[in-house]
Amino acid sequence: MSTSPFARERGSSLERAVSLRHVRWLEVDWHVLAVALSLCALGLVFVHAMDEADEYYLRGDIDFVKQLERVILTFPALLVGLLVRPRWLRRSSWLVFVVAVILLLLVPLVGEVRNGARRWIQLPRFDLQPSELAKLGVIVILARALYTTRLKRAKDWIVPLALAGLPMGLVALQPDLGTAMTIVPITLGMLYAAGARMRVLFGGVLLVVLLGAGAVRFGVVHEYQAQRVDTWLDALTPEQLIENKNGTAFHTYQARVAIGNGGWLGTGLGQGVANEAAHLPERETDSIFAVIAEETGFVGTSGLLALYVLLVILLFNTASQVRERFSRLVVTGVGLYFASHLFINVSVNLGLVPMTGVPLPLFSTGGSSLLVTFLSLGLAVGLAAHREPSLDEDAFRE
Amino acid sequence: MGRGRFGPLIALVALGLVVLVARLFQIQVLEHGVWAAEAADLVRSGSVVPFRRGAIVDARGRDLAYDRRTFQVEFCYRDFRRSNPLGAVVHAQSALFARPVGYAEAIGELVPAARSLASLSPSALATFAKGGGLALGGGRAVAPSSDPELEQCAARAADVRFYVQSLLQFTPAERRELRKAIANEREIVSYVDFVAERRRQTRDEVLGELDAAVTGAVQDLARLAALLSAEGERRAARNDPATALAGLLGELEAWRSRVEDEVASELFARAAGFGIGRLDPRTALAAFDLEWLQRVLAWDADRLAAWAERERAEWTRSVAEWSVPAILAELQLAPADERRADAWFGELAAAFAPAEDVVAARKRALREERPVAPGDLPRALVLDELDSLVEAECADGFADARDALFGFRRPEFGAGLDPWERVAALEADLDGEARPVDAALAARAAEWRKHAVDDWSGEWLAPRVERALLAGDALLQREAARELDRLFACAAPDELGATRKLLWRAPRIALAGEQVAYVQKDRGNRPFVVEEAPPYELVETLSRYRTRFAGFSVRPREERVRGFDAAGERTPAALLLGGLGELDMLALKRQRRDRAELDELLRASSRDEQDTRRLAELFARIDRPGEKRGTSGLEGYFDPELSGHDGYRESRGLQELAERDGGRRDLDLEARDGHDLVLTLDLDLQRAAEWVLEHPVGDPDPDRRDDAWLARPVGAIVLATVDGDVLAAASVPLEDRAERPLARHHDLAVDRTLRLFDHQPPGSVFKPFVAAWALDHLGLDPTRTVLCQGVAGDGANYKGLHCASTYGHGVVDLEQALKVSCNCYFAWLGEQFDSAQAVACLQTFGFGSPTGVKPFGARPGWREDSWPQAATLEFQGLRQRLSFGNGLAVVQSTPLQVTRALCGLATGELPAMRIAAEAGGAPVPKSAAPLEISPRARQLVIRAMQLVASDPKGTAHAALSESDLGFEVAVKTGSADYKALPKGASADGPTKVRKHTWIGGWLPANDPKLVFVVFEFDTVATASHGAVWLAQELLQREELRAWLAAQTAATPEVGEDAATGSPAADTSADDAATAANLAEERR
Repeated sequence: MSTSPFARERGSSLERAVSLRHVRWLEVDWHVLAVALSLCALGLVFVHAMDEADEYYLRGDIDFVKQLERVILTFPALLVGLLVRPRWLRRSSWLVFVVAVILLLLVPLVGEVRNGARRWIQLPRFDLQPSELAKLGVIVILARALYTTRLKRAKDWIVPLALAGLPMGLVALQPDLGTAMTIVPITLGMLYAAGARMRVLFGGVLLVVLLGAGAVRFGVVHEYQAQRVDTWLDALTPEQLIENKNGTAFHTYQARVAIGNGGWLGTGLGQGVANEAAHLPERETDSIFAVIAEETGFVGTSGLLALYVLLVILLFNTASQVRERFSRLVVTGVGLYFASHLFINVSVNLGLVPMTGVPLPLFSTGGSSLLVTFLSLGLAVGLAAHREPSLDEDAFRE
Repeated sequence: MGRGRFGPLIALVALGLVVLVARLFQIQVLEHGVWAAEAADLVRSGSVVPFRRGAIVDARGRDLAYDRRTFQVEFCYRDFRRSNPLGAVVHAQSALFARPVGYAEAIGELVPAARSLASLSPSALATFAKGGGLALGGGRAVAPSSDPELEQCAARAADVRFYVQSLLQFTPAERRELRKAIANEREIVSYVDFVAERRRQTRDEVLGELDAAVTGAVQDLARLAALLSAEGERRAARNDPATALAGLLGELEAWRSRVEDEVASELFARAAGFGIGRLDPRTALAAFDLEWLQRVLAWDADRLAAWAERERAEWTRSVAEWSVPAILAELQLAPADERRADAWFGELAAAFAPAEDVVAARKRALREERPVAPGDLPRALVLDELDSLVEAECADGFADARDALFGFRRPEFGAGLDPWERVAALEADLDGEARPVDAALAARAAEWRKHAVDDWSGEWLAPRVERALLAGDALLQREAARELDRLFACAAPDELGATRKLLWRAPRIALAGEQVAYVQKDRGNRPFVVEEAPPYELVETLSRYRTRFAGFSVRPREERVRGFDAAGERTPAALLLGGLGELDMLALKRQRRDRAELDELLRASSRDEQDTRRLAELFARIDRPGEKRGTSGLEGYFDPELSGHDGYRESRGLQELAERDGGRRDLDLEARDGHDLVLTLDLDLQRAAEWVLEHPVGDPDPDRRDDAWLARPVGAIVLATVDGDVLAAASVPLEDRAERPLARHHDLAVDRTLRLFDHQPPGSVFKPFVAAWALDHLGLDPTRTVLCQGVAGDGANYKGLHCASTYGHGVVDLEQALKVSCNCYFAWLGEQFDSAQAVACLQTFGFGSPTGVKPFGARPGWREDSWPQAATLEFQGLRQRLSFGNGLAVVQSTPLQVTRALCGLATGELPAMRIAAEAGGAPVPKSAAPLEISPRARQLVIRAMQLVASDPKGTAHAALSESDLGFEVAVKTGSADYKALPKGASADGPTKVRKHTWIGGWLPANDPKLVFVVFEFDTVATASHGAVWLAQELLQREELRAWLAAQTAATPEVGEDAATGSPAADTSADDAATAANLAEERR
């Protein structure tokens, strides 16, 4: 007996949230998963090489086993994401967002301070970084908010911007400006995908840039943030950077040395100065790109960047195939999530923007990042492969 | 929302990719050389291979000074704390209790402490890391933390984990296994249980091994302490073996403190932008909340204060020891005109600018070939950092403070004044004086110019530079304190820490925080020298049992050793050999351009053949900082020949890796050792001469000898072959008798054989030369007599020049005058000389000229006084002529000049004296010039000189007759007035004429082989009662007789010499004929 797709669903609340049978398995974008998992495997290879190097140099900073464990632990999130039903997610998007915001609000109360910032909540197996979850929260809630509007009127902008701005502000207050900054391109991209005019967005971007420059110029930002900008401006040429290598540009210098040392073909796995001397801070997390660039060289790194961009394009392509607006926006948001992290992380390491700490998803170690990465990937391919009745306007547009 | 929306997004991403790849290309391909060089620098291990300095040997190849490969014991604190069980326990306990647990405190309970650490479980440590309490054995416990982050529980737990694993000697595999077990949540009762299970031992067996390791470590340290105490300074300090270990533990504590101090200083400097030593500790500690630093180092407030005090004292000391010489060197390197005044302004600005700015400014100035200028250094030390260092902010800035300190940099400072007047004005300003005007200012400026340009005087400048630096520092302290007070006034409550002090900004602390591990590793790895001359047993123990003495190591080094100095015997010829020293600041700074090029080449990621050649050239040219170079004596003069040049070895890979696996050798520039210097000296004769000078005898008649001089002799002895090879050149005192630099030269151990101190006339020892010259060039009739007669109440004299004989020698001819050393006769003879003749006489015998011992001409390091005024001698009246004839007043001479003149007289050839037979790998050629004195004249004089010793009336007969010596000598004594003491100044009488006394001659008299000169400086006994007895002592020495016997045995038969037709043989034949003629003439 066939049932109308618009008939009220029956079954347990769990089944309303996740369902195996609603996934059109043949339509799952296995290319996305294959590229993503390849990148993840490559990341593990580099972490393993770092661990080996640490073992050799009698250090214990990097732990491959722990990272592998994290991957194994968080990988189910991909499956869960794959099974999440669009309708449930759309209806529960406020819940997801509220949980993310509550977790952000909990950080100042129960969070752990590392490197001068309070960003983590300790959990039994790994430490949760709510700001990572907040990114997913922003994607989902923006998709929900943009689900019913095409941003034709000025007032249509208020809710999406407020929803994106709240977690962004909370994250920036931690302080974690880098993570907050990743939310900006996600938001802008989703607004564009939802119908915002390009020139309005460009105007917005220009406004943000001018406001940022003004904030730095007139000392509105934290002193350390202004100092990072100064450091960046003072280290645009190799000579300047080398001159300042033991001062505020220590991190930038170490990253640049590692990348530059790679040359055309790289130094080989685990053989770079980053692993040998281990002076590069955060080499297994935010600076892992520098390690990769050193060990694989220009050829390897360009290939890797291309692969990463391929993942983003595949995600955009997947999004473009989705008829349902909410799901399409979520998948787009996930693509933007990867793109923004890629460009910010790599730009920081290459010295194109001031130093800030942003992980490179699928490569950087860290449980929260992996969890959100897998979950968002699962959501992206899962939502795209779900057969869900939808009455939203996009469903009838084409 | 259509599909068309994705096109721009994808295009944007693709554009981003292009940008990233382009930038990647720029860094990885275009800038690869730069970054690869930097990377290589981070992991490159290069070491200079020092050259071996050439040895200095005597004529028979016996060592006088040589470089010996020796060892020194070094201590690396990081290795010790990581690998020695005692270090591991102490540091684990320090981490647990969050305070520095001392070695003395820990050693009493070492075994229980080690056991309790080993019995900890990973889960207990994990709880501790999160702020939980920790139960230790023996009822001890660490209380839970109220603020785990503040108390750095996680980092402390990680430290404890490391030390526990070190104590139980975890292998890498065991570490891996443990990590897996923890990851898999396997129940691990304790670390010791884990190890026992994995090694298939019982828990008690593992604990037993741990006990043995810990007690063994203490025993090893006790043994080491005893070995360290066996030699050197520690021996006196720890002659009681029971206290040796306690002493070593004290030293361990001191090294630990030193490392911690250095870590603290570097972290402070990196965070603050200036060193703690640049601020008064009272100001710094009262103003800054340094709890972050205390937490990193687990220090209490007292420890923090002690560190700040020490660093300040260190800076204060460095002003005189380092800053002033460095600034003086910079001034000297600046062009010798008013640009030196500008350089002084620049240097003063540099002294109060951030170090990184100074480095950059110096690089720039070096590139542009000019001194550093104040304009290169716009930022002020400390003052320009404060507003961005602390959380508190004041509305107005710090310009006032900076201007107060650096007002002299403003263009209007000293407008209208010339550069040196500006310097004078600045000096007055810094001294807090009213600025002088017009003539006073000009006079002061002129004085600066004079000492800094016209007639460089570091002695004059140094105190002024130091005063300016200290005055600038006082200003800095005052302004810093004022600004910190202002910041306090502006500070909101949350900008002050718990101790009500100014909080530092988080990024500054974070900056230091991210470098803690690096700094700790770097500073902990820097070795301390424990023992510079370790006994053999210590070296053997440390080399053979390296693992048991973790942290202690033996490192080879080159040491300059003086020959034959064993068993407390003094090094022969030490004063002549001179010494080694490190290059001074000026010399080092002169090489900075080359050094910059060398650094550039060393940093290059890859080098071609030309680069490598250039590297070798630079290593050959540049002195290593700390390299020992000859600074005085023969070591100094022959330094270019004795020195080689360094080599360089370089390997890629971290140093620890290179040590473990041998590394990869990339560059190997061989060092080139220096050449040996072969001297003409004979070690035995040198030693004999020194012994005689140190144990002098005088006239047996106590009324005639100078006991005061004998007790504190000052003088010299020279022995030489007749052809000019110096066999001995000895001087006393051999050791300083007073503190330099204010001591009189009488009390200083300096070479006197080549020097003219004060006024040093040769006296009557000069008479034979006057006589010989007069015979040939003035037509002196040797039979011409002069009456030497006492004049009532005034003693014997000739026109006022007194004779030694009170009643006169009567009528004397030349021979008698020489024999009895009659001053009247030689006063008369001197009267016959005009100035030009006197100069010619002096030049004939080489007086006033260098003796030739310096084969390479003028070089720094070894001084020979030659009295060049001899060439322009102008008599100023009769008295000077009379004195000239007697070798008094207007004539001066070194012992070696007298020696050379005697060689000439003895052989008819004036040799260039040699002290080096071979230098720089080549023989030093001998040379001699014919003496412009006829054989007849020489023989007349020689005959008279023989009578000086052989005739009972001769002035040396009492001590140097053939019966005394066993051979006949030809000699001449001499006493030259030095100065008359004022009445009552001497215990010996109301007025005493002090004099230098001499005796010079050769032996055997008729077959000269050895020339000798004995010189007593500043004595009251005449030569006949002083120097002759010293000469007797010398000539009776066994070493001298042995040398003479060897020479006699080696002398060729007359027929052989004649066959060669050598000038020497001709001279001998001439001399023999002349002697026969003279004998006939006398008859």
